[in-house]
Amino acid sequence: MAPKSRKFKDRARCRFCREKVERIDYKDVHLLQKLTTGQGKLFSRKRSGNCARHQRMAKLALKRARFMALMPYVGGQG
Amino acid sequence: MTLYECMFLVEAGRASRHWEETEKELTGILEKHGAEIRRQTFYGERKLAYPVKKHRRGAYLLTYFEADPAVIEELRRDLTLSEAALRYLILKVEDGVVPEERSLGTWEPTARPQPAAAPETAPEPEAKAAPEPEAAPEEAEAAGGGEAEAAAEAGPGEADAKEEE
Repeated sequence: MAPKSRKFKDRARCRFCREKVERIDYKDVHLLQKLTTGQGKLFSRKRSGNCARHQRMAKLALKRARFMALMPYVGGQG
Repeated sequence: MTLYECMFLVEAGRASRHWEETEKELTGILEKHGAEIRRQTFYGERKLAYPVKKHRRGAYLLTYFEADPAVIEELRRDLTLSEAALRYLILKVEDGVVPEERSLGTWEPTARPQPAAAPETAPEPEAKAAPEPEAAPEEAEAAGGGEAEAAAEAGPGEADAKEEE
């Protein structure tokens, strides 16, 4: 069988690994919004495709953002 | 000396009317503990994700400073007691480099509120002075909230647990 194409390999990895992100900033509200549901809950790893390491970083960033009232603890804009 | 970043959340009304005093107070507290300020960026007012002490809008000041790790605990206590900031979050900058000033999505670094507005609001400091004693009891809550902040820097693991509450 032919080796897996580069594209497939890239898609198989987590979005942060692909871009070699070393840390996720809690101030990056735009990014965090992409990682959360409309209710403000963090997407599961299954859903977001994040690796364990980056999911932990996302979790911490989200919790810091929540503390600073940048992201909701519960509910969206409501 | 370790490099820290500290984000302050200042209520919107205070930020627009008494910005200079507010910034002076916060900076003063940092400097009192021997912190050397590297860079300060004002991120303008935005709607808060949830009301904090009944305030729906707030302005953010991001400060990078170097300080002795031993003074951070006392620094936290002073910041908690101060009414200048509703909340603050002190984090260690792991790579020890002050990052470039950058916009955060739609959230841009902004010019500070103009002190030019001060003359017209000049009579207001007296008006503001009156409600301040009432505001004092809130300090108790502030101290409670402070625990989460204190945890934030301790370590990723423990910080999680406490911030979540």
